[in-house]
Amino acid sequence: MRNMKLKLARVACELSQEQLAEKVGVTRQTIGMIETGKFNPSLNLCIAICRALGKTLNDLFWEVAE
Amino acid sequence: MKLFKKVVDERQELEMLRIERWGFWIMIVVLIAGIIVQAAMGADLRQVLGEYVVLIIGALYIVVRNILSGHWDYHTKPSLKAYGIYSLIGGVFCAITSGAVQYFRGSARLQGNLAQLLPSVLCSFAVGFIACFVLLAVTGEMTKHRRKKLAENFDDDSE
Repeated sequence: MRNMKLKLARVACELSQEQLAEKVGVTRQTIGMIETGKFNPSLNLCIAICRALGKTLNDLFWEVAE
Repeated sequence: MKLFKKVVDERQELEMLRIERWGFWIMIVVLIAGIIVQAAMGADLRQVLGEYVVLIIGALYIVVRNILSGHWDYHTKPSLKAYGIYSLIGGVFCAITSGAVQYFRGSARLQGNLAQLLPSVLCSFAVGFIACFVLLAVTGEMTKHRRKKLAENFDDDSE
């Protein structure tokens, strides 16, 4: 499942995938794959991404059931 | 200070582990196929000893590490049913391998009359089935025991 919340939060912070990747210590491909839902990050990486974007886990990774 | 610092992220590491796992299984299958083909071509034990040693060391490592970590199988839990199913597969594999090796290695007598292979093939099946069942039962029970012990280390009362 695509993670649009992450992409929107990143764009709102005016960060490119490359910049966010550098901040959290992963490759750009990893960020791209998280955003497109092709890779499920560990909790540690989720927390690192949240910290880099100033968001909570709920903001970026919690899906509300329809 | 570490000599080699890890420069891959968790996704890359996972992908590399998957690739290495596939590589490992390809090597194991090719190794077993190599042993069978050599045996069918008439090689004696000394000629395939190197392959056997590699296979046994690799298999022992996997079995021991899995038992110590409390792991058994991706698809089944250690149980009589699982031992039976895998032993059946092992028995059939032994029977087919033994039959093929005897057929290709064997005399014109065997090649002329496949029915003569039947007793030894059935015997190979029985030996393979029993050996697999005993080994699986022993390792399965060891795994269950280990799991119980590991779970006790992380129960609610342990700090």
